[in-house]
Amino acid sequence: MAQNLKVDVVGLGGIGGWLITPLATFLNHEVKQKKYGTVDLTLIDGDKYEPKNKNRQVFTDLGNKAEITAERLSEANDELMISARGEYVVPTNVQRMLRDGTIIFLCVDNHNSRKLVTDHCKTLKNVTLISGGNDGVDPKNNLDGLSGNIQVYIRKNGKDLTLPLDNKYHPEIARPVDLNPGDGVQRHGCQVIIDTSPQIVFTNFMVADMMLRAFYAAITSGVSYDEVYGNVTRNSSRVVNRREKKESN
Amino acid sequence: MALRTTASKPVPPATTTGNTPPTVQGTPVQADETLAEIKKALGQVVVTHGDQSNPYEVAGETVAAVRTHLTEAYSIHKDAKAYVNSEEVTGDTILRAGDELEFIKESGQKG
Repeated sequence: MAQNLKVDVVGLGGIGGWLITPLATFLNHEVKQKKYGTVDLTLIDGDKYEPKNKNRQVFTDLGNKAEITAERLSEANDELMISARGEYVVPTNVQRMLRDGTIIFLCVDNHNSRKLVTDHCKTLKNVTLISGGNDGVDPKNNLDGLSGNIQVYIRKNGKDLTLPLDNKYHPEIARPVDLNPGDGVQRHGCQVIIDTSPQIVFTNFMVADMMLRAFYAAITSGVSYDEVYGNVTRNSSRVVNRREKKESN
Repeated sequence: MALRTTASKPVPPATTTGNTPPTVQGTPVQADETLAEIKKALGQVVVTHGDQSNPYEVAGETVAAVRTHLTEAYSIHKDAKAYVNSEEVTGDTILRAGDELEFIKESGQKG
């Protein structure tokens, strides 16, 4: 009997908005082919599509991103059970939102949410967390907006197979100084970083592509790496397996 | 210090002729010799940042000196921490042949 699959996509913005259509198309086909019994695809985002998003995101209606996208996808992917949760993932709902046995695409725009979700995943028995992010265009910080990376955190039977997002190489996630958009300003006080740096749509798209590749590996051959870095203009990527390197030293 | 990279001059691949052992630049090597050992023999240090990773002949130089020379080419952020062979190091650390130096690039924040 074909197994069932649960997939959550957290964040339907510049990265999540791009990966969701091929992801749904693929999963719909897999169910048709009887490779999976059922597929639950849950879209999670508390943000709204606004006219200002038009430079990097594709949508026809204004409104909550999760709800608008779920409605659009449901029409074309009738084999999937698609649902929308129009809220941000915050400490008070993370346990309810992200459940054991799920593959989670984390496509958020802040390290605070990455820390929250990776901490929650550490408490789950089986989970695959695929997180992606890209640089904004920020010359002051030597960022041209053309690089991005993904991290893949896998737990199986209560054990880490790859490194969590907040590993020692990523203190920016272990000790985030930015803001979870659903978490209120007061908690963060003066540490809040107001980041308005613009982004490049091709970098969003590259990260979405790298995340989908990791997903395909996760459901087929398995993922043996912790991280992948990519760059648009060099058209390059580098796979990193920090755990294996550490253990071999 | 002028950084000399071998990135544009890759190490010739090991070759095998009949039953003779594989060779690199005419010198017999064991078939199971690792790439790291070859780089060590050639005095190379692999320097990495983000998607970029190349061997440089910088053994004997400090981490800080390498950072200074590659900051622009690699777009290294001023706060990027340096790791040699997966351990965090300070700028005055002297690099040895065969070392792997990585200036860790922060995860992309945006999405």
